[in-house]
Amino acid sequence: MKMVVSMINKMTTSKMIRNQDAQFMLLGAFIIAIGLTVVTIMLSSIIFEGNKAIMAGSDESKTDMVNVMQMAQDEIRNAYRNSTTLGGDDTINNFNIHMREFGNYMSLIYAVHGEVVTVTWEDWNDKEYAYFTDNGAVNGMPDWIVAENTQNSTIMVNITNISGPLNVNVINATKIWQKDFSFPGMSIISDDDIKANINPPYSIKFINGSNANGKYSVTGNTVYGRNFIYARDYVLNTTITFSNSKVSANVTVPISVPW
Amino acid sequence: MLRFLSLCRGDVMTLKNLRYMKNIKDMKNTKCMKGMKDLLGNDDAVAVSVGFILMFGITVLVFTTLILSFYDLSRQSEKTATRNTFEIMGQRVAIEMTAADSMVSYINSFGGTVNSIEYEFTLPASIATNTYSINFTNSTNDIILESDNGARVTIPFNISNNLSDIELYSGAEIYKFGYDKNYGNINVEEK
Repeated sequence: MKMVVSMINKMTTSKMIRNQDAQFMLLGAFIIAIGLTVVTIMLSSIIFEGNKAIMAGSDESKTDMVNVMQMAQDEIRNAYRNSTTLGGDDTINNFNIHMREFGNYMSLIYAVHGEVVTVTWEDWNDKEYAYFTDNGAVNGMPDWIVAENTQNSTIMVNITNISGPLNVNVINATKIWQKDFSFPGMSIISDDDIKANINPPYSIKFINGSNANGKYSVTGNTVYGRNFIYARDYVLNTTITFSNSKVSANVTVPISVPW
Repeated sequence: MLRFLSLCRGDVMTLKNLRYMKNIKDMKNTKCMKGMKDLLGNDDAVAVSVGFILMFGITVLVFTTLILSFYDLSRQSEKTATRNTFEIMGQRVAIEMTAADSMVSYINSFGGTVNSIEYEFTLPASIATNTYSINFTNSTNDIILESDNGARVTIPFNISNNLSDIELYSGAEIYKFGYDKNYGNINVEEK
């Protein structure tokens, strides 16, 4: 019985092999199969590109880079404040130790994410005080607003070098009160001085900031009850290198200290 | 053939004859039907070479027609696929350019200096087996992608820095956006 079945199977198979019917149908099927393969490959390439586009939109290199800059800025200010508050002869050394540790930790933290980050900084040894411009550089904006919506404030200006007049304007909605500085030295404009001449809320503005360099601090609170400190001694240039598989950047950022 | 015709003449299908033919077997037994069967099975005047030539010719004709019709169809879908891919790819490049630009702008707004910046992006060497060009134009703020098969797509972009005009050709696959700090320009080059 088994032999009969196997013989029938063999006969059917050989018949199928020798059967030459429907050649054009086979040919058509073959061409359609090739066409479908081509279309599928093209469609898959479109889908692949679409996925890459989505990935491009969600690339985090930019935010990582910005975060590094922000963290470097905050840490340099912290390091400066901590070391200068402690005082002593080792102020700069303490600052450098603080920053070295920060730089090492940053490298370690970002290495986990597959990113290489290095932070190099400068200290204020042999460095001039910042100019009274918006960014502390001599070519920065000379007329700029330091504080707005101020309720109470004390302004300290300590001029090291001056080549022309430096003015501090206190402005409210109806009045401008101006204090002029022409010589090196420290001056304090107290809250009482200001309130004797102008009513709050007011803005504090530096005029001709590129004419002088030195230190300043403005402390007080706003009409909304928020305390603030704006102060600048130096502008320390910090260089940050950032690289991952996609982005490689080397930037130098001026950071004003202590705030 | 003549024999077949003569056989059929004497076997005219009248209504009267049909009435006597009670089943199909009767019909098959007519002289005409027998003649027709003989004619179909007759291999006289059939040469193997002529048969082969005819079969070959017909096959070539049908195959060519099929291929041509399918080729046109595939060309159409190829162009559509290229255009679609260009749109997605161009938008991706525009996004990456904006990312590089905003990074530069942010650093500049911080008062910082960009000493060097490289923002890498990849593009396929060919799309649907065709090479293509990418034209970055600053005057119209457009990325124009153009393929060898005629597919052309324009993608607008918006950046705050200037862009150096350049036309790139596929093949390099890896490209980068850079920043020229002397001129404040974003530039594109092969890596």
